[in-house]
Order: sequence, then C-alpha cells, then structure tokens
Amino acid sequence: MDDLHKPRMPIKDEGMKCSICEAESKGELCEEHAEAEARIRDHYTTWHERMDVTWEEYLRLLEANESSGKWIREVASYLIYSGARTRSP
Amino acid sequence: MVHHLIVCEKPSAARKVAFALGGGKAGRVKQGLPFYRFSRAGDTITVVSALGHLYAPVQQGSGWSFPVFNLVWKPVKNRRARAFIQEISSLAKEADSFISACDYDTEGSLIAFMVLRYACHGSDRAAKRMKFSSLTKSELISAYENASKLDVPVIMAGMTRHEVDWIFGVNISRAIMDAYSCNSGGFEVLSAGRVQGPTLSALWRRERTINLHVPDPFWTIEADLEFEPNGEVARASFCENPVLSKRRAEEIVKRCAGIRGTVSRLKEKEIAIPPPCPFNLGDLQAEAFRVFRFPPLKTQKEAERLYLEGLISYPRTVSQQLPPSIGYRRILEDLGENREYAKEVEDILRMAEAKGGLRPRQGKNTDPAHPAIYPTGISPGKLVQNARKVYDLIVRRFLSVFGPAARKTLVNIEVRAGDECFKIDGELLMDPGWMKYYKPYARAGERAVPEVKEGDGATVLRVWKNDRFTQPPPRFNQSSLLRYMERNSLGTKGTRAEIVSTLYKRGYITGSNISVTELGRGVLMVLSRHFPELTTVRMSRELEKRMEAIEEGTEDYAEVLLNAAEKAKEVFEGMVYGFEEVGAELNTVVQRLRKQKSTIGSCPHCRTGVLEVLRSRKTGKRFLGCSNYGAGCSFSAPLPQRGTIRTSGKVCSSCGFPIIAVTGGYSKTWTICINPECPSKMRA
Repeated sequence: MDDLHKPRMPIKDEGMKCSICEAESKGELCEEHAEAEARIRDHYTTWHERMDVTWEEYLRLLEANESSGKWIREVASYLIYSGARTRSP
Repeated sequence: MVHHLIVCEKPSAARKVAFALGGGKAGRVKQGLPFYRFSRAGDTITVVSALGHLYAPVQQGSGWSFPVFNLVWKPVKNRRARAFIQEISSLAKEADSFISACDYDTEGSLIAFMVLRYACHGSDRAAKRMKFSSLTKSELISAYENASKLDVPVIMAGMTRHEVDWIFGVNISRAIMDAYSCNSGGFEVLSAGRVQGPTLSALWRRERTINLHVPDPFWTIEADLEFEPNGEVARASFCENPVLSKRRAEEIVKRCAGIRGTVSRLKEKEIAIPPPCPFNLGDLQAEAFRVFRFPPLKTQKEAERLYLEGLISYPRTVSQQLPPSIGYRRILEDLGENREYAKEVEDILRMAEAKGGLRPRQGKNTDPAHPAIYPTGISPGKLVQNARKVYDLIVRRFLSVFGPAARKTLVNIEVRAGDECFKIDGELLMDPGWMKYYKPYARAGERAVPEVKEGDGATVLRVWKNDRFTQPPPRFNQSSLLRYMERNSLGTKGTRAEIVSTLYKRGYITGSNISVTELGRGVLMVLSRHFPELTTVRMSRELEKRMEAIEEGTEDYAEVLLNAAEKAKEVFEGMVYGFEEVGAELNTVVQRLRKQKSTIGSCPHCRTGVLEVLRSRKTGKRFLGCSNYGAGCSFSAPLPQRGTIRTSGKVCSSCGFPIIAVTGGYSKTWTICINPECPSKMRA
C-alpha cells in the first residue's frame, strides 16, 4: 500500500474550543454558533433577492441590526473579520 | 357543653374568625401565640392559628446522600413555629371537638390536617371542616354552623404534591451540588425540581430562538392623503403591504408621489365588545402586570392581604364565574356606600331594574372550591398604596362584569388612484358600555378616520417607505411566563409565582423581560443531558393530572407516590454513571461565571488583555490587574476595599478608562473611574 492510500489517523477533535465563545466544540464553532452560521447562510438568498446586497454587505447589515439575535451578530462579526470566510455561500 | 378548638391558617385569619363567631371579643396571647376564647350557644370556642405550614417533609435520619426516599413530616425549623406548635398542643388538651378553618384549598386543608394530627394528638379523625370563600361575618358563621367532615382526598392530594416535590427537588439539588463539590472542592447553592426544570427549559428555548433570529427585510408604504372637499389630511397605508423588494418599494413611492385618486369604498361595521370575565388569580396577575407592572408574586401577596382583611374573596382560584349565592345586589349596595364607586353602582342597579335582574358575564373556567375573585363590599378604610391599587382593580373589574357590551364601529376607507390603492382603518367607540365602569384600566383603542363619502377626491401629499425587519418572538415576562405555566399544567395556582421567584433568587434568570443567565443555561444543559425527563412538561403534567385525580377520589395516594418514586429512581440511576461528568460541566459553568463577574473590562494599557479583580498575596488587598501580566503588561489600579465590585459597562468620558460600580460598603451603589490620575478627579 502506498503512502497516499494508507489509513490515516483521525483528526482529534477533543478539547477544541469555539473560536467565538471558547466553549467546548467539535469543530471551529460550538453547536450554537454553528447553527447561527447555518442560518446566516440560509437567509442570504432572501436578503439578496430583496435588497440586492453582496455577502459582505449582508454580514455588516446583520451585525448592525438590533433585531439580529446575539449569536447571529457574533457570527456575522466573526465572519467579517476572519477574511478567508467572507466568501458568499 | 362542648369545647371546640378552631385551627386557622394565619393569625390575621384567626382574628377574623374569632370576631365573627365571638362578636368582637379581644384576643389573648400565650407564649407569642395569639388565641381567642369565648362562648357561643353554650359552647366554649378557642380559636388558634398556624403560621402557614408548621410541618414539612424532611429526611428520616441524618446524612447527606442521594437518592433518599424515606421522609417524615416534622415541625419546620423556625423557633416561632415551634412555639406555636407547643402552645396549640397544650390548648388542644382542653378541647373535645376540633374544627379546621384554614383557607379552603389544598394547602389550607393540609396545614390544618398536620396541626390536627401532630399538634392536637391525632384529633384529625373526628375533626370537622369550615368551608368559606371570604372572611365575612355572615359566611364564617354559616361555615361554622354547617361544618362538614374533613376533605380527606384534598388533604391526600396536598400531601402527595409535597412528598413528590420533596423527592425530586431534594434529590436532584443534592445530586448536582454533590457532583459540583466533588469536582471543584467548593460549594455553590444550586437547585432544580419537577417544575423548575421545565420552566427553565421553556425560557431557554425562547432565549435560543431570539439569539438565533435572522431578521429578514421587508417594506411598508405609507402616505398622507388630503381629502376633498374639506381638506382633511389622514395617514393611509398601501393596500399591498408588506412589499418584499426594496426596488419595488422605491418604484411605488416614485409612482405614487402627488397622484390624485378617489374614495372607491367606504365600509362600516358595528361590533360589540362583551364585558370581561371576572378575575381568577392568573387573570388578576396578568392585568396587574399590564396596568401597574406589578410582578405576579407581588399581586398575589397584595390580594392575599386584602383577603385576610376580609375585603375580597379567596384569591387563589381558577374560577371565572360568580354564582348568585354570593349576593350580587348586597355587594353592589355595600360598594355604593363608597363615594368612589357610588355613581357606577347606581348606574348598574338602575340598569338591572330595567332589565329585570343582575346578570354578570361568566367565564369558562370553574373551580369546585371557590368562585372568581370578588370584593366583599366591606369598606376598605386606609390601605397602603399597592393594596389600594389591587383593590381598585378588583372592584372595577367586578363592576364591569355587570355592564352592557361596548359598541365600536370599524371603518375601512379605500382610495384608488389608477392601479394603486391605499387604505385607512379606523375604530370609533360608539357606546363605552362596561368600559365606563372599568376606567381607567379599559383600553378603548380608538383610531380616528376622516369624514368622507364614496367618490370624494384625495391627493397624495407625501408618500414614503418604511424599512422593516422581521422580529424575534418577545421574551417572556413574569405575567406571560405564568400563563405558559398555567397552559402546561406546571405547578399550581398558588406555587407558580413562587417558582418564578426561586429562579430569580438562584440567579438562573434575570430582568423583567426574562433572559436566562449563563448559570441557568449551564444547569439546564446538565439537566437535559443527565435528567432529560426533568426538562419536559410531560412528566410534570402527568403527575399534576394524577394529583387532581387523588383530589377527586379516583386515584390512590400511595400508588401515585410509589409511581413517582419509581420514576425518580430511574432518573437517579442514570445520574450515577454521569456523576463526574455532571460535576465537571457544572464546574466549568461556575468557573466561567466567576471569571465573567471578576472581569471589569479591557486593559487601557495593552488593549488586548482584560482587567481582573485580584488580591495581593502580601497585603490581601484587592486591586485590578491585567490578564497579560505574564506577557509583560504591568498595568494595575487600586480598588475600594469594601462593597461588591462589578463592571458598569461604561468608560470614563475624561480618560477612557473603564468605570466600575460599587455596591454596599459605605453607601448605596456608586460609580468611579479606575484611573487614579483621571482628570475628572483633579480639583479645579
């Protein structure tokens, strides 16, 4: 078996912490912030259709909106400042 | 000649009972216990009082372990309560007949039963029960003369509730506190129970929905229209609101500016608004919260005070019905003696004569023990402000249920201008009906409309779009939370407000628009992972139903209790395996919370660290230090040595350093900038 096809060690996800709230998580974000991110991505289509905004504008508007949930604002702000992830879905 | 001993729930109720039966004889005090002795129809009567519950379930034997199921009823740990028990016990030796005159509900029946069984040497077997809904003289005399057997099923239901709550509450609280202290070595008062869990869970679900709310944009279009021929101006809204595209909204605004149209439709509809239902406790709490912003527990306490004064009927009721037996006319006539209500009463009685009798609006809910809350008609004299407010609300609601329906006209005006359409909706109060008796608490909700007729011209003076966003559901307030608990059979009418208050006391929830704290969330997460049954309404609802069945006599007390113990056992068996995990999770939550509490704000020196309250190893004094101390930031600031310090969330306008709030110590809460060299502290 060549190196490429050898079974690899699974990536350890024990002890990972959420990049936003430092709670224990299975990935980059904890369960709540991951759900907030999924919702932000889901709603982008609606915003784009209604307001014709870009992904980054959308995130900034969400971050500044008083009706946005706390976790939504935190994730929007995180997505804005972690440059690599500001690509639209 | 017989010697009767009458047991009341509270000293104020005992005074009322004694004055009603003994014709105003003064009371005597023995070792701090007020008791009344007098003769009536040749018999001797002694009236004594409890202090609420004098007995409570406690663990049999000593030790702090869980699960524990062996409970016994013992006197509560309160010196005054124990003195009361001792004196009741000595007075009981002289009596040969016993009567319970505690509030006619589950708790009242149980209080009297425990006193009769344990303090009166097992006299519960031959005891009688006075049944009454208000502490008026006539009702108390009638209740005494018609005293019946003790209401055993109601007592058994009360005992079951207390014992089941004890099994769940004590064991879970011990389990989580034990798990926490084993893991952390520290101590923290944590609690959870059969009703607390599902209530906290409902609050958290709402909190989660709010935190995950993504607002979607939409637009509404409004316009000021000037009508011909009289030039009246009114605000109208676009018929196709809401508009779901910004571009379309802008186009509509552009298209409609300055156009002229005509009134194409004028529709009027008369509606009748029936009077409100009489108050039950939940309705009273909700209305007092709406009108005065009184928390439900405060309203309940004020209402209980009014009841003990004999001014209103028993407030812990779910009934929304007033039976004729309470004597509508007599109560109204008595209320009419009060100048404040005289005009309204006169009006109601005159109307009743014309209609051939007094017929109040009745609600749907009934209560086998008590009618809806009503004033007894006794003049209130001087009342403290809050009690006066609750009393006035109850009286005005009572008056309004006899009033005729209010009449409103709903007006709908439609204006068409080419393809565009605007509408104006209005409401005009034609006849206030019952609302005039319920002033100032009634909401008329009038919306004026211009006087126009079909075919009249209208010009759009100004048109604009409003940017709107979908809103998250509102947070629970104390009133809506009680409603939720009532709908889901969580707790009883008498315990709900207490449970909400406990959630505040434990620090699980905060604010008048309730939000769940980090601690509340942490405890709930632990509960939902290890005791999932305790976070759903299902188990609690089932138990409540079975307890109601005991009250009705269709279920057996022992069976329900054994079943509850079995359920609790299952829950705790699961807990044994996750003991360490529970402790670790709680420890993380408490640590995070403590850290949050001791953090004041970001460091003004390095800008990346946070300021924490620390203690000097040398002097033991507290000061502020930067979390980046190890990385080279040596910023520190002195702190006041007395009082509790927390962040105020503000920064100083002079130097930009954080401002702290200090509570206790020398005075009330005061704020101070942490910078000792702040220009605002320099003398001019």
